[in-house]
Amino acid sequence: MVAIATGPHGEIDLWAPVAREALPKSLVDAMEHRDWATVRTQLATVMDGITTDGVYGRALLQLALELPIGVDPVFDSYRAAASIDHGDWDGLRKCLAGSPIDPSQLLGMRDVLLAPLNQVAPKARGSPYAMLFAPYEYQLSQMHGGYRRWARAMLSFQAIELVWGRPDVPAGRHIRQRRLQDAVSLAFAEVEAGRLPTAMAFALEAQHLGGDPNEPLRLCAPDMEELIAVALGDERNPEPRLLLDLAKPTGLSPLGAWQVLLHFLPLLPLLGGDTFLRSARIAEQIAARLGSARAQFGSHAWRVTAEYLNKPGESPPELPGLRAQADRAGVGLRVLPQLLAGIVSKRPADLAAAEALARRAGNRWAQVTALTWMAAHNPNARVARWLAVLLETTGWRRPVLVPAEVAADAALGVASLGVRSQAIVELASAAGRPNILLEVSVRHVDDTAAPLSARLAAVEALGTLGTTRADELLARLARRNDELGKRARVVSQRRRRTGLSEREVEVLHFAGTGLTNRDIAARLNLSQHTIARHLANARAKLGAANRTEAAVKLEELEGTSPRLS
Amino acid sequence: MAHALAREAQSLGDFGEPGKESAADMEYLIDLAMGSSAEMELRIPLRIAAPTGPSPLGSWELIFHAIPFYALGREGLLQWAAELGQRTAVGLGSPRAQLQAQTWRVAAWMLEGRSPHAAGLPGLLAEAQRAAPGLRVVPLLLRGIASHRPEDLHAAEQIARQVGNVWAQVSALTWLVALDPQPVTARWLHRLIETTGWRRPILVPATVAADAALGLAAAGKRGVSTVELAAVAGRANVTVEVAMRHIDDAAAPRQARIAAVEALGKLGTTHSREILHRVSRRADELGAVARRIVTSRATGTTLSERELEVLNLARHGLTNRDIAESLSLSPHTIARHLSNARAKLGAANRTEAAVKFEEMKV
Repeated sequence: MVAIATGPHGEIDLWAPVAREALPKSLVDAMEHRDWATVRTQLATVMDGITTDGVYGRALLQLALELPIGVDPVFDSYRAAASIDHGDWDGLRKCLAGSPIDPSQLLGMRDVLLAPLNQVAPKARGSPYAMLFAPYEYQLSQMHGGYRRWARAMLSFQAIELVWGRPDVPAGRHIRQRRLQDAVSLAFAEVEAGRLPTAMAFALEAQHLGGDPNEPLRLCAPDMEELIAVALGDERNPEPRLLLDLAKPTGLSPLGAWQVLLHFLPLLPLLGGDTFLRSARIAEQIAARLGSARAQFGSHAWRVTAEYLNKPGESPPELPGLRAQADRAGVGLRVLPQLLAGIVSKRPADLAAAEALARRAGNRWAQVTALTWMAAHNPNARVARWLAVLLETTGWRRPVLVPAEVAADAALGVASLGVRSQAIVELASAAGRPNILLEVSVRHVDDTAAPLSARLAAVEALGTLGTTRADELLARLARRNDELGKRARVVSQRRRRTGLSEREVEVLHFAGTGLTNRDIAARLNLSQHTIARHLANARAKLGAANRTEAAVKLEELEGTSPRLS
Repeated sequence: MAHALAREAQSLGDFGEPGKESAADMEYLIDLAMGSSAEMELRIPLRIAAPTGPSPLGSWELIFHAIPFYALGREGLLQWAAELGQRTAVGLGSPRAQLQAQTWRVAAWMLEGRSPHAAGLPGLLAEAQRAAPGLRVVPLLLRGIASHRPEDLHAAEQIARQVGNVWAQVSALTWLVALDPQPVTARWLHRLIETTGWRRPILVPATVAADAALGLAAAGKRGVSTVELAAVAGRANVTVEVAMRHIDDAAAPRQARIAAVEALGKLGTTHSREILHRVSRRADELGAVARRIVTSRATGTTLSERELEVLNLARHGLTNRDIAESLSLSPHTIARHLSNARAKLGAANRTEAAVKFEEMKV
């Protein structure tokens, strides 16, 4: 076996044999002695019914690959599912040939992976099978909007006759696992095709689902939370564990790893460093081993994109080939190559084509990205309006594959065309370029026709800037007698007093009442890491040695006792 | 100020000296610094690599007189020069030369996107502490660029002013104005770029230069230099913003307002075209300039002002050398303008281009 990539903790080889110590000893022994009756009873206690990454994850899958064909239909279905997970198509064929299992049970993933590039979603809907296999339909068609609809339908779907009716599946375990899977799928679906705040809610929920805290999907959830927070415009510095966990023997199966990586890839450009490129390379390697043209094409497009981001300015040599292949692919698969072509050439026509494709495929993030680039390079009234509307509904504040300066340009372009929106102020704010944020904020503040929420957000943005001119403007605003004046007074007072952000003050108040980081995280629906970071920032700003001193200092500055809640 | 300017002028004059070829290179690089967007292969690298090239000391001088400008050239040029410089400096055994070479090496690495730490900035700063002010300028500037802290950039600006290093002063001020435009820094930067002609400050990414131009415009600094700083940075929305402020401000200098209209004409975005059309309805001089641009667009040519000018001269049978002399440009630049004009008109040679252009006018 050859390692597919080098991770932060050594080489990643998802096909490497893993230790079976975690499995029940009686099961391993029975396997060795070829005592199939015992194996059968033992398996019923550990299998979920759907071979997926559970507690024993890869060990169990690899064990299933060694089950004999033709002895027991349950063995055959386990082995077939494990074959799919490892891209072992010969093994799958043997299972189907040598046993009475219904091929329709295995339809979804096999058909997705082996379908030709130009295949789109099958038309038949409504049958329980279609429902169960619909997540794969997403990959079949790359229909992002459709994926979101599926994910919503899943919440109300009762798969009784498919899974719960099976005697070999312990129902309670399955339900817990299913809720985790659903939450993660829904979070991804919302990232791809819906609203980021909703995705955030699912990511937070997933951290408490699934029963086993070491379940790989559950371990992904904090990463997802941090990345979505960055996309929403938060100042965070996420350190995702995804690649670390991939290298672990209890991590994801080859197929599961590829699926999760593919879903994560749109969020990974938000990280600095080489995580994005490394992940794209790993996804491509897995896809090559799985032997699926579709999987390879999708991951290849991401890898080319990641390499371009590493060396912007040079047109990627693989782009023409990628686009030629995309010509024959389904609409969803065409979005990324077209978007990349637009980003490389910066020609409005290319970007407009990418936007149109993304809209057809229901791929929101790509639409936001294309529109942002268009607004930065050649804004017109239609683009500006659309971008403002999309940003407002989807919540993206750091669009994917858009450098901060381009996002800032887009905000400036949209603002100078007379479109006013809170989302535009926040877009400029997340881009972190003081002069542009100032310009955009001033336009919102001065425009009496702008929505009040946008004007208030502009005042807040001036407060975060901290430049000389912003402070002057705030002081002038604070003399006004309206809603804006009131907000300006609050903002400038807060700035004068502490220089702390709203969040930091909030966290510090909680810390002052003796709550632990875990408690605060639960109250604010944030992760503990974020709380620790906020506290560290607050400590640094106040020049305090520890949290207690920081809380006391804040109290002194405010001249009040910490707010109890 | 005057003293600093004199030194700058003098150092610009010196560049022609080491050799004819490097003079051509320098002309190109200075053109770049003043905002031209032509492309050219440099010849100094070839010259130094050749066996008939200059002595080690000679090449050291060739490189290090010009090295700040290399930061403007194509990617990897600075890296190459810094590496070569470092090797030569080690050979020469001069600690001053070595520190200088190390400084630019760090700069090149930072431009490539390495973190300041990985590029070796802390070590450089420690060494520079014991050096003379002149050698400290660039390390301090790099520190300011790495930290984005106004205090660091102020320190770099101050020391650059002390030793009369105008380019470093311009760069530090550009960063300062981009990050936190205070009235004093904006005034200084505005005055410096008006007088020195820098349009592409060294070690300043285009995005930062554009931010600085926006900061200048927002601080009420009007001038041709502000418009050009924005236009050269090549970010359409910022240029529109800066140009609009100049056009709308009746108190701005006439030259600056005309430059603003011309900058809009070169942009070619939808928004800039709309503004141009609006301006072209005005009865004043700005209206006239805008009308000229709009009509030259309407006739189907999108030739730039310079290309029109060069083509006009070529029509009268002047050679590139003659045109270069009459416009005070280099023959290379003329050749480039002509070839661009040929491409845009779809002509096979200069004669056909001139004829086609003539036809279009009719």
